[in-house]
Parts: sequence; structure tokens; C-alpha cells
Amino acid sequence: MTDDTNTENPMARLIGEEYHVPPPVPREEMWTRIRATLDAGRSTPVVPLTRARLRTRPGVVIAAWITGIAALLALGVGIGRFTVGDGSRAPTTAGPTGTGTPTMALSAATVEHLSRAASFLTTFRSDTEAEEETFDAQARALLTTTRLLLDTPAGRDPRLRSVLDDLEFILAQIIQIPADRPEDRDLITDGLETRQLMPRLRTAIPPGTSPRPFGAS
Amino acid sequence: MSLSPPEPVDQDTLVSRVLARDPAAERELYDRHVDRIYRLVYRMVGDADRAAEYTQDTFVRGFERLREFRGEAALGTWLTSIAISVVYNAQRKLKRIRSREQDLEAAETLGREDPVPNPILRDRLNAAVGELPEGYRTVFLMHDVEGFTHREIATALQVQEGTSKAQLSRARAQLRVALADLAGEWVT
Repeated sequence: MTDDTNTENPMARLIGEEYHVPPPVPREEMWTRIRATLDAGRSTPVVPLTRARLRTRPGVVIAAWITGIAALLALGVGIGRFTVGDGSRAPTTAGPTGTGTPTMALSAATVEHLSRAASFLTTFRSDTEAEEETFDAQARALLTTTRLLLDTPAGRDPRLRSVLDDLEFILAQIIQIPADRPEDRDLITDGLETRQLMPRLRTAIPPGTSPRPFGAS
Repeated sequence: MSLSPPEPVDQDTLVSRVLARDPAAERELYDRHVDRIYRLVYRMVGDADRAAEYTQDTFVRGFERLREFRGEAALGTWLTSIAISVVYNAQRKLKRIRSREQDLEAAETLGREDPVPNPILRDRLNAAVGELPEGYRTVFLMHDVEGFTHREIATALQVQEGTSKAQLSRARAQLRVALADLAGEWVT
């Protein structure tokens, strides 16, 4: 066998110097995204994705979550539309990442939504023990919001639209997982990897941005 | 080797503050462990973007599940076990995707000759380590490259210390065979 020393193992030392040598740790970049994901999961009473907690008060908690984000987006979308008109007369107005001047409200709503989506999908792909119904309500609420955003100036920004399109597709797939075929989750998580949706979602959340209650100054 | 640097605040206190959603404590927990987690993840995946993504997933899951942490192991070891789980799951999905892509490529490249093996040392090492069975590779990288102890490895992988030692021994033996012609690189 071996003991806990490896300093006398030159082969290991050589491999350590040559094999997948880590670059400097991108501490701040990772923390910004972790912080945003955590805040997105906490700013409203999201249902934790565990069976026990879901059985506690599913209707109340899910309803609160849906109500919260619906109100958030309704306000954001409303302000966005009010600001830019019907879109046909302001075709160059872009969303939060575009060249135009986005409304603060719509920008905040978009960031909030993307952060929630990132948090949800992180849990979806890692919590393999959760039942499908656990994800269904949240996926539906996120899908509704995604479609709302696609119809705003945010949805006219090409990069953001691409992310929202893929998010819409993945959420629609999650909703359609048959109860008797949980293995279909693997296909969806494969799709997440193929489309690189998680890194694209996180990249779309501006660094240093932390979701906060809508309308906060 | 300890998983954590000297701690101004003990682990239990820090965990309690994080559970109370103290942002400074959350950041302190992250700062204490992120370097070692990221380094291990990078050693396992060899890609900066994926290493960052998996490290982020590790900490998000860690914070979300901190209430499940019972303090039976060091917090760093607990986070390491999450990181390994995240990497394994992601690697398996990637492997499935790549095997499907390779099936398509194989149909297109049928009849072509295999590329000439690259004699560069780094490529040889990458290939030799990459060909280790997943468990051997993880134990080898954790112990011989990143300096984890067998106790830490056993806890993180939920195996016996003897299993960790045996896997390391087999990994080293397999590497010696695979890299026998490079022995001059490390035998003085």
C-alpha cells in the first residue's frame, strides 16, 4: 500500500507539474455568480426542491412564488412597453445588454429572472432524487416569465434572445417529462450541456448584479 | 494536511453564521475553501470554464444544503465530496454527448488512418492519467497531486481508507507501465 506522503514520488511530482495545471482561481468572478444565484433563490419564498419540504405547504409556497414573480414581471414588462411603445416605432431599442437605454425596471426584472432560472436549473440537474412534480410548478412559472420577457425589448437583444429561446425550450421539456419516464431528465440535462445554457445564463447576469426586490432603489 | 487554513472563527461558529444568512460569513466560508475546491475540480476536468462552473455549482449546493452538514467531517471535506459528485455527474453527461458525437464522426471518417501519437511529454502524461479508471484517477489526483490525505479522500468518496490506498497503489502501477519509456524523466 502507501502512506500519506508523496514528496518522494517523482512521477507524481512530474504529473503534478504537467497535468491539468490549474490557472489562478477566478475567485471574484465565481463569487459574483454564486452570490447572484443564492440571492435569486432567497429573495422570494421559493419551494426548496426536496420532497419533505414540498409536502409541507406546497400550494401556499408555490402560489406565493408565482405571484411574486408574476407581479415583478408584469411591472417590468409594463414599464418596458410603456417606455418603448409597441416596438414597431422603436426597432433599435435594445434590452439590458443592447445599445439602447433600457428601463431600470425591465433590466432588473430580466436579471432577476435569469438568476432564478440559473438557480432552478442548478438544482434540477443536481437533485436527482426529487420527484418530477417538484420541478413542474417552478418550471411553468419560469416558462411563463421567459415568454413574457421574449415579448419585451429584452427579447430583441440578439444575445439575450438566444439565451431566452434556449431557456424556453429547456423549461418546456422539463414540464413535459412523463411521470413514468424519469430517465428523460438525463436527455434534458444533456441538452443543458450541449447548449451550454448554464454558463450562458450566468454570463448574461451582469457581474456585481444582485437581484433585489423589484422597485427597490 | 489540513483542508482549511488557520481559522480566526471556528467551523461551527462559521456554519451557524452562514445558516443565519450572514453575507460576510458566506464569503468567509467561500474564501476558506474555494482554492482547494477549484484546484481539484480543474485537475479533474482540465478546462477553466467548466472548472469555474462546477466550482460554482459546488458552492451553491453547499450553501443550499448546509443544514444537512452534521459536522462529522471537516467542512472542506464535505464540500469536496459535493464537488466530486458534481464533476462525476457532469463528466458522465459529457461522455454520453461526446460518444454520440463520435458515433457521427466515425461514420464520416471511416477509412482514415489514425493520427500519429503525439510524443510531447504533456500529451503522454495527459493520456496516461486520462486512461486511468475514474476512481483511480480521482484518488491519484487528490493524493499525489493535490495533497489530500487518505482519511480525507475516504471521507469525501465515502470509501474505506484501505480502499483509497489500494486504488492509489493501482493507479501508480498503471501509470508506471503506461509511462515506462519516460522513466528517465523522473528517475535520476
